[in-house]
Amino acid sequence: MLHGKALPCEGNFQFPAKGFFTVLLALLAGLAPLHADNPPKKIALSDFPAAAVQEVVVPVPSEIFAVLDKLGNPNWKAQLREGKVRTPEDRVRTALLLGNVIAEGFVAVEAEDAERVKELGRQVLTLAEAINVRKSVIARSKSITDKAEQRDWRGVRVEFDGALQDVRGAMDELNDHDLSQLVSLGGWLRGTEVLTNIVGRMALSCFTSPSSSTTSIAASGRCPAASAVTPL
Amino acid sequence: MPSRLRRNTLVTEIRDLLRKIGPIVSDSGDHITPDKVATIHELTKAVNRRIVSGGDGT
Amino acid sequence: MIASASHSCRRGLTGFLALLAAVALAPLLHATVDDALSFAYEAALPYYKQGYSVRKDAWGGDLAVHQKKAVSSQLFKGNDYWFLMASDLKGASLSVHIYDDKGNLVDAESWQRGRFAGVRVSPKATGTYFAIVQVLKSPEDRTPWALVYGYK
Repeated sequence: MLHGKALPCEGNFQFPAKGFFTVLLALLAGLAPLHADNPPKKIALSDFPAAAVQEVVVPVPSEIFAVLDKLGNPNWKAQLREGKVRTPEDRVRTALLLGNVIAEGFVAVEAEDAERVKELGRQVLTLAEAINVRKSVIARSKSITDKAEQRDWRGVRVEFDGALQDVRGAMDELNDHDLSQLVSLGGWLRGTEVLTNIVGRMALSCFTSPSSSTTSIAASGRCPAASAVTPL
Repeated sequence: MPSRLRRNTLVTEIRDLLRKIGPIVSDSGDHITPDKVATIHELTKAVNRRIVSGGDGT
Repeated sequence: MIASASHSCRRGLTGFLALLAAVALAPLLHATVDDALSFAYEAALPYYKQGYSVRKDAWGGDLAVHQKKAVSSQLFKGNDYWFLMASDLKGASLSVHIYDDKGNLVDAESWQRGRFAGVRVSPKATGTYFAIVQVLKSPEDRTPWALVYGYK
């Protein structure tokens, strides 16, 4: 199964040996009509025994932040945490902090703060070193710096995604599976803190009436249309 | 979970946090009220402070 | 006793040969799934050029004709997704469609072209969705396949 396998294509997406197929696909697209089969409108998922349902691919942070891109322009700079983190003594906190800092990287990307992004890239390297996985993120850290200087924000996101996956992969190889999960958890915690703050502020600006606290907000974080407002 | 992690106070706090957040999210379905969002924010903020500073999160 | 030992030995030998075959064939199967993956990325390329970010994570394996498999993924309301499936096996025909957790078809659009298939989905809600992959026809008993997705 390929799930979870790191492939070197993301971001670069270069296929030096496969150009032929690209041309072929383009030609086929032009010459042959695209057919669609007729899938059933409804299926019973219970027909697929557990063994036939493959492992869930966990969303990467940039996939979540892609949703946030559509929220308009929240004040991301206000969400940035100030100061430099100190490397903790214990590995549990270091693992959590590493995930936390990677998530902070995404906030800095949203804020388009190149200096902060570079600083966070360096912090990722320092924290990775403290849990013996520095090697796995050296190249990522450099790419984060390079792409932040070029203000290639999409590229920086890919590198932070990659850093998270590389760190986890390296920790899994060291049989540090639990610590590896803590890295993801640390990222989730920081991401949730920031997102709930932004969504909360958006809700406040959407609804200024005294009854706003009883008004629901759509899970997407957008101000709901009048018809979608359902008091709980 | 290995006992060394189970005994870790930060891990215990995070488990408590997840126990609190779980029902808030699952009871809300597709729509969640601003006060519940604020609650989740405050809970995660406190734990993140602990992660960053190692202090008591206050 | 001798017969039993001989039987046991034969069984052992058969097992050994099966193991040897499995070891010998494993890299071949792996290589061909990797090839399928290359084709899946090829199919994703036009969407990448349209601004879709394509995930490194992929699914893959091999299926018999008409055999279906469900792969699950967490999709987010607000994002737009393209799932691309491919095989490296010439003459194979594949399909992929997306269903929500209640089993309802949620394809926004889909296409099927020989050993390539694609489906777009714009989730109405954040949650778990299932890509149902299927080999419609194939010149071989088992058809290697790979599935990738992109989002924007």
